[in-house]
Amino acid sequence: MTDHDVKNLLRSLRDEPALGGSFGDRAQKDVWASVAQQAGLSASVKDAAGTSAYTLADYLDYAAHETRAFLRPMAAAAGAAGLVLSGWVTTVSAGNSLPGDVLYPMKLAGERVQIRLAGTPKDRVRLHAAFAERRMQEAVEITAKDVPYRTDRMRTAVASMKGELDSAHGELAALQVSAPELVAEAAAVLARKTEALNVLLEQAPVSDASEAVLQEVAVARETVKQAETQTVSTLVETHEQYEQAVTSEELQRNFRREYQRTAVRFTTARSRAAVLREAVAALPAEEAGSYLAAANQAVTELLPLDKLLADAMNVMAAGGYRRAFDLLAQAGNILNGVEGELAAQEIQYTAGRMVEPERPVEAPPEEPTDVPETTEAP
Amino acid sequence: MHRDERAYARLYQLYVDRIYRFLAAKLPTAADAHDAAATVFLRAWNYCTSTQVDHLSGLLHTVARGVIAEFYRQRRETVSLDEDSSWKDTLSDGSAGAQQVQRDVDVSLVRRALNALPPDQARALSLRYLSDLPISAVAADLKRSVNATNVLLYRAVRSLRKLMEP
Repeated sequence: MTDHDVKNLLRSLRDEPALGGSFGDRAQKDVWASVAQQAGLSASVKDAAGTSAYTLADYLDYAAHETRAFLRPMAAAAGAAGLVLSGWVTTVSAGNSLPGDVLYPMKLAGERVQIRLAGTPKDRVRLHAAFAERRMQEAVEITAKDVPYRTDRMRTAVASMKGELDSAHGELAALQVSAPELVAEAAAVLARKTEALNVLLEQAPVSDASEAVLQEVAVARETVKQAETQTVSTLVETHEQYEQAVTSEELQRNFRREYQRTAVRFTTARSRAAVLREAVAALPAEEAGSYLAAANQAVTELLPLDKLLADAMNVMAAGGYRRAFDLLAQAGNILNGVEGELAAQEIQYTAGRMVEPERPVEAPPEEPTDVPETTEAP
Repeated sequence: MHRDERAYARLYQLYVDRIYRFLAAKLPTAADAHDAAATVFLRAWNYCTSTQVDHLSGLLHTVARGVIAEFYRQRRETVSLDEDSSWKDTLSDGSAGAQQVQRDVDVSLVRRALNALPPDQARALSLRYLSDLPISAVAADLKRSVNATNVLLYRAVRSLRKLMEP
């Protein structure tokens, strides 16, 4: 058998059914009918194949199909980019929102997510402190703005700030048990934030604020003060238990700050009492009596403060942190009372001296200086 | 490929014969080959309407090989291609003459030899000598050059001859 014989043999068998030779038109139609039935095509292959030319609609359909291959990924990418962009825009917009705004809950939700994702109690302390600062900024912004429901918004911001500070202290307490070596660091973060809160409070534009807003500012001030006290208390407890150098340093830093603040308040109160005494000296005796009595009372109440501050400094130097802060707190309480009384006297004195401001005397019109000099006629 | 029924029907007319021959050479009965051909073209339609296809013939043969494999896997019984009992039943009855008997023997031998060849060689022989396509068409179907197809056919014929020689 040659190669030629093999080729001839194959050619001679091409119509054999066992080699696929029986596949005529009938079989072709049957197989197509089976395909068409399941694929939803025309039952007749000849009808399906057709002879007519493609219409414009066919070409447009084809073009749409071809472009879909790259339009789909592009559309998907554009959609993803749009989502990211809109999410970013929304987040940025929510970041500037205030209590009562539509986007404000989104801002809070974002913060909750951040806290949930925070890995350690120390991170959570830092986040709660940062969010407390945000609440304070919102409160200050509300104070400055003429927005509807200002008091309610302010109250919400202050309450939220208190909530954040409480949460921060809760985390700090947890840290005290789980990782006392980290308490000082976390407390330092919290202390710096509360200091920032004080600065923000001082910046609050309260000159033309309503009574209700002023009340909320006072609540905020008290909240920050409590937070400071609580932070110091935690630090003292941790130090007494573990006597770490870091807690000692942090306590000293806190003490110096509180001592300085109290000393300034003390000096200021004494000066105010002296100014009041001088101011009422010219008044008739019966009128000046009550003012002088109040000023003298203030000076008398302030007398122990010199010793209190000196004792606090000495006790602190000896390592008695708890006692030193207690002494500062005593001085602070005395100052609160004196400052309140002095403020009441100052307001009363100022109200009694208020007169209608005199109208400024109109100055005579000046001679015009830019008039050219007249020259005499020759 | 787009859902262009007209284009697919024309491709069907062009390729169904060679795919059927490919299937018939490997399946036991004509009915099995018919069913398999329908399955191949249905699956190819579904694939083409969702994915770009560059070489339809290659796709159809790939799908066909999968359908054949499924067929034997599902039957769970060994059908010997060498015996070809089913095809014999359809080809020869008891009254056939000596010439017909010899023809049946040749068919069996060719089927057995084709199935023993490498797939490319069997496909080239089937297209060139059974479907009677010109070399250029065979080359296009195999996605090879004409020269490469000629070489392939030369080797395929020699291999087939060796397999069929006693």
